[in-house]
Amino acid sequence: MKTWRIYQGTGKPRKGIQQLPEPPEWRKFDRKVPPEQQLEVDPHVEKRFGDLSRGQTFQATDKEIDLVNAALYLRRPLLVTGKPGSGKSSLAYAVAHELKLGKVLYWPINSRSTLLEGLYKYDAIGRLQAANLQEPSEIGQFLRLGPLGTALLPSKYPRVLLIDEIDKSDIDLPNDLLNIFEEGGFDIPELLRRTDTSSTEDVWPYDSQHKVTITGGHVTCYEFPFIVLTSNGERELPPAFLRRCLRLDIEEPSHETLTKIVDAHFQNLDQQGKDARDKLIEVFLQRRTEGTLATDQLLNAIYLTTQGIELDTGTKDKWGLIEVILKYLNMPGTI
Amino acid sequence: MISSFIEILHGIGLELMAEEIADVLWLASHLDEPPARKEETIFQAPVQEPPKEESIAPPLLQLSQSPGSRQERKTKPSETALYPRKSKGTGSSGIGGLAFRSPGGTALPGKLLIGRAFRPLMRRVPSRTQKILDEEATARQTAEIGNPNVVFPVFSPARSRWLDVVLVIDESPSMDIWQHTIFEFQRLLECQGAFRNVQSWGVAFDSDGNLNLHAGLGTQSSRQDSRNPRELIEPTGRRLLLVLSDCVSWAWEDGRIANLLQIWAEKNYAALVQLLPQRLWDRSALGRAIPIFLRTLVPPTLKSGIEPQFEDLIIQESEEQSLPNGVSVPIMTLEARTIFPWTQAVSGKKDNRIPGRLLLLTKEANLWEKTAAETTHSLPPEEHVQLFRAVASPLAWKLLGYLAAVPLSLPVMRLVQHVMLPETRQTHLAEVFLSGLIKRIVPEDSSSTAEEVEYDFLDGVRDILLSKVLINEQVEVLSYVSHFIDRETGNPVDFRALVADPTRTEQIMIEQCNRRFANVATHVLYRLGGNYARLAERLEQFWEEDEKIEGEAGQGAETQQKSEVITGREVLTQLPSVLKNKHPEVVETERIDEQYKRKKSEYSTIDEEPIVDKWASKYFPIEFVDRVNEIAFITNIYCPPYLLISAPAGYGKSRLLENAKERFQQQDWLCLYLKLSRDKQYSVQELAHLLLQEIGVQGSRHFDLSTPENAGDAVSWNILNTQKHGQKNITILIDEAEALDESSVKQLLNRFLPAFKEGINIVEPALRLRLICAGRQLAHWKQWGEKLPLELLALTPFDFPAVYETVRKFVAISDIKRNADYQQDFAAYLMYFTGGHPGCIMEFLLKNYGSNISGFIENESGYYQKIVKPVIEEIQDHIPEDLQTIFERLSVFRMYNSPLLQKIIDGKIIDYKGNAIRLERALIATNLVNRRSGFVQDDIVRRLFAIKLREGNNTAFIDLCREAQQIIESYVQETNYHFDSVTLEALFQELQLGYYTSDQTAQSRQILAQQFFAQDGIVQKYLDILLHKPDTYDSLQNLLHILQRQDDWEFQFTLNFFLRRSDHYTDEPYQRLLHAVEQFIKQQTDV
Repeated sequence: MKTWRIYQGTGKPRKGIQQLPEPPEWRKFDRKVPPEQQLEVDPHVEKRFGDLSRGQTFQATDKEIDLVNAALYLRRPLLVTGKPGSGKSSLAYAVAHELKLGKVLYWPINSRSTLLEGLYKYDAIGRLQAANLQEPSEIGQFLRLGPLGTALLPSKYPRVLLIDEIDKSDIDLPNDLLNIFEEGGFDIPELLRRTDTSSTEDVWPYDSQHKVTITGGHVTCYEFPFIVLTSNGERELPPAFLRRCLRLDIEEPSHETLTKIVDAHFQNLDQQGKDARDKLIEVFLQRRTEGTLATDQLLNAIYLTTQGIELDTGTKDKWGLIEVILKYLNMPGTI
Repeated sequence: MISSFIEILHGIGLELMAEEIADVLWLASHLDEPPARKEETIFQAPVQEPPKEESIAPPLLQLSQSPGSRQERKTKPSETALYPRKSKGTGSSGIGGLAFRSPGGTALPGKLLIGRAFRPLMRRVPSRTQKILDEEATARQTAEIGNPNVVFPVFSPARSRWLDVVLVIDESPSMDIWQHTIFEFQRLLECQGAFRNVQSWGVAFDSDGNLNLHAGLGTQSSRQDSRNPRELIEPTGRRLLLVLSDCVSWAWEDGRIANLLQIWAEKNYAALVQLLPQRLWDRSALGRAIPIFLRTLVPPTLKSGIEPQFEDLIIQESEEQSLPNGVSVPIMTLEARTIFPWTQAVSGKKDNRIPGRLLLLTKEANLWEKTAAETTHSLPPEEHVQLFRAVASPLAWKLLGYLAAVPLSLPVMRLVQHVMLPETRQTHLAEVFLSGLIKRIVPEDSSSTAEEVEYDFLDGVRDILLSKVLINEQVEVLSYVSHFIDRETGNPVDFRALVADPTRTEQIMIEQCNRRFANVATHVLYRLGGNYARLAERLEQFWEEDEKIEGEAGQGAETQQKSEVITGREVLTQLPSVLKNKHPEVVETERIDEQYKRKKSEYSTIDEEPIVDKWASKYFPIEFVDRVNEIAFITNIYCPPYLLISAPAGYGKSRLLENAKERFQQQDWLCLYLKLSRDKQYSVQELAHLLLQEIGVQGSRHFDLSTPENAGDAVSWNILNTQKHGQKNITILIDEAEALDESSVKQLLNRFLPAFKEGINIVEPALRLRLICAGRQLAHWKQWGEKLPLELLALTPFDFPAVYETVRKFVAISDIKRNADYQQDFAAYLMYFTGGHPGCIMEFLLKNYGSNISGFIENESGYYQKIVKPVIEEIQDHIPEDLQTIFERLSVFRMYNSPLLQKIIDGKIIDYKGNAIRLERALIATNLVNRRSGFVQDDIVRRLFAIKLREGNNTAFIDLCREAQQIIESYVQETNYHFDSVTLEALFQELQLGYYTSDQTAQSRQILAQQFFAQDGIVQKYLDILLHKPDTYDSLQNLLHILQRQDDWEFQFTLNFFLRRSDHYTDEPYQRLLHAVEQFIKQQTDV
């Protein structure tokens, strides 16, 4: 056991994040936040359906574990590349689960995503309405932080933020993110405009029903969040952006890893099931040499066998079924 | 301490920023203490790592890994998703783990560059539907109202992405092979983040010509009902409509797609993406479209669309002819350098000329094209194969040969490409597909994807092709493929085992694909002869029986067959060695190349035409080379029915006609050969007399030849009379046709021949009629008033390799024996003195072969006066007077386009009153020059005139060279197109100037070579210029490609000749240049 590792890839929740040393000088952000103002992990936040199992069953390799720890230590974002279905996103859930870091903040990127959407959303119209109706209301009522904004709140322990498919983003987004990663915080002009540096506002965070207090219209993190960015490598990202991230290329799971993954998902396989498992893994690996296959597809196939659908060799129909389930992801004509 | 650490990091290629180094050190302090044993490897380990592809931390993370895992990592290919694995089989079977997507990696090379080319389109414009609250304006508005209780929210349009993309994909059968490419292109566009949306639509026409346009790709979606093409129009104009096609289907030919494009181009930015490389365009329907340039006149946000600019049209016909009714579309390929100008133009860059095509909206009324294409199917397979051979690129031809040994489906084809011809690309496969030799077997299950579709050769083709491939290569291909099929079907039919023991039926799954494989394999076995042929017979029987009684075949014959079986499972892999012992004749089967060479010499029996009396063919005992293609063209089925062969004196026209006649006769045509006399004028009546004589009719005066129609009747009647054994195809060959004047040619074509055809009842393609006229400078026939149905074939002069081959052939029959060096030197001087004129070369050879090389240069003007000058004067007679001097002075340039020509006019190098475009047309109208790859170029006339210039007034010539060099140099700086050819031209001008200003001795040639290749020399100068152009990498690669393929032989020759070290001509200077360019590119890519 390597003692420096905080995240150990066991899949079992443990206390460990407390051992994380102070950040290096150049990655210290707002360390002046008094302990009573630091946000604890919110036990009430409901986790997304399936988060738990994703966190439990993820099988991390040595390389992945090391890089996760390096990112935690260095307070730097982790840019994960790899083929579809190789477990890029699951990595974030696994870390959150094992280190008890709460719910993963999930920010799926599409080509219309903007930085502002990740930081916060200001409902100006709502506020106007309220003003016209003469309802007494605070401005914070009309502000809701986005996933990135929430991750940057001064939490005691790093929040886990998953920025999914960053390579699908608009061309400007990586550069905008870069600034935030450097600053570790952001301003909310709507609040700045009307408050002095010490006044406070309560606003809604992304995933919680409990408002948080923001001082002086400025959000700075206490612990830099653990950010996982995933990419399918479809587009080149700016070099400056790449330099600020730790880069992890998840390799396609080997035979051994596949077996582990299957066992993690199907814990009660009998001997017959194990035979089917080994056979399917063989087929899976063979097919994977010629196209992209996701691990999910293997799990689907094994699930079918456990439901009594036998995949004997020989008859044409069954092989046809396997072909459909293990259909390549990167071939044309798949609709 | 830290500085030495940084140095080590530098040493292993990690250029880290200060903060990164700080990160590394800080993290190291938190890592576990490494075991003492590993201490020494701390700084060595990273050296073995591929550093750049990993994250910045790996050198230190290595510390926590055991040496074992490090080792493991090293052996794994370090792969990122961006760069496809350069696949090499990992399994022992040799093909295990191969990726069959396309040889050499991705189906869409240069992805990142293509992505970059779309950048000009990445902009945002105000959305028409989405609004956002404009807070500032709201505040201002509210403040102005002055009543805090009344608030007017002000909205402004949100910024949204400018364009969306619709890919319209041609779904004709020949497009199957491009599926991967299109798929990847679509993915690429989606991932750019530049477009609102990327959709794919498929367009196809069913057998009745009905349009089937549907959203989505693949067979599922093609079953939908067709949608209206207008659905694709985005009324606000914010859409790119890219039509992806290879342009070979009939829908391109007859204007159906052009009509669709017209609908789309009205409102949106429509463009054509041609998937075939440019060299194949002429063989697609684009060959008939008119090349144009388009440019943006109005910024596109104000008015949609790009206005065509017609001033640079290339029209062969007379200037006055108005443009046919058509739709003009920009054209590009899937390469960054062709996409970029278009995206720039769309984004509103003005005065950007982008290439395009004018597609005709209706079917072009053409006399012969349709019939030719329709009859291809009825061609005998030999001709069909020959036809392809005549036009195919060498690699595609070779690939076709290998494919003959395997069952055809896309994965198998790619496999063959990969193992046999890894240098081939998708485009070569496309060429094979376009050959018309392959048919698609209609799949039983119509939902199969392109990967599953099976193909086969047309009947008889496979055997012809197999006869051209070396047997052991066939076997090699076969054994690879049998491996593959074993694996692919997942339930192996071991073909080798099957060959060894055809009785083991119970283990054999009879699947379609295996069956077909076995069929093909039997073809191959048949060709091996002997025991193998018998084996093949048995196999065939076996399959047949098997079809009848499944599972019971061959039981009875078991004992007998077993005794004949050839030993062992490895029979196929052992075949080559077995063959050498047992069937020597089989092993001697020629390679394709050798066979081709033999054919070439068979065909090339064209000799000199005795136009100048001293060149009478009796003096010339040897044959010209390099007319193989022409013969093949004339005698093949695609050839237009009425053909005009035009060339200056001494080009071998008569010889060509004689050879064509011979070929026609071999193919059982009736040949009527007329040799006219240049000094006379012939009427159609006289031609009819001659034809009757040729048929063998005596006393032709008795026939009524009063009108051309009657004459046609009479000749046809006599032919029918003499033909006793059924009707034959007829060809009429007329030599020295310049003796015909305009009215007789028109009468011949418009009156005589129709009557003649009717008399014999010739209906193409059942029965064919050809008319081939050869003569000096017949090209002007094409310009006679009405359009005559004549196609022009211009004979080309010799390039240097052809001259060299001519010399070698001469040596073979000559008494004078000299060594190979001498022959090469002699050929070089021949080239230099004659410019490649075939007649001059013959004369020079006969008179001077064997004399002292060093004496040549001194005697140059003597040779010029005697041999070359008469030829030049003869050619000069055919040039309009006002153009003569212009031609002469332009001869220092090897090529020009209209911008360059304008510079030449502006620089007062030539005296011309009009603008460049007009001059360009006038020059082309003489038919002495023509347009190739964007430049007007010409072969012999230019070189001859240049010789005349340098022989005439040498100082004037040198002045001209100097001005030419300056003009080209400034043009290179300015232009943004064709860097590769322009750079070569600039180098040529530098050479020309340097050589003629020196005294041309060995010593000054040395100096010139030094200037040329020095560190800051001439080559370097132009390469540096290239660096500042857009798409540098592409241009450099193109330049290198041209040099490597030796495309520009004249440049190669000039370089070698002008920079020859001693008096010997060698390829050394050219190789040096090639090396210099390679080095330069390497440096740049390293940077």
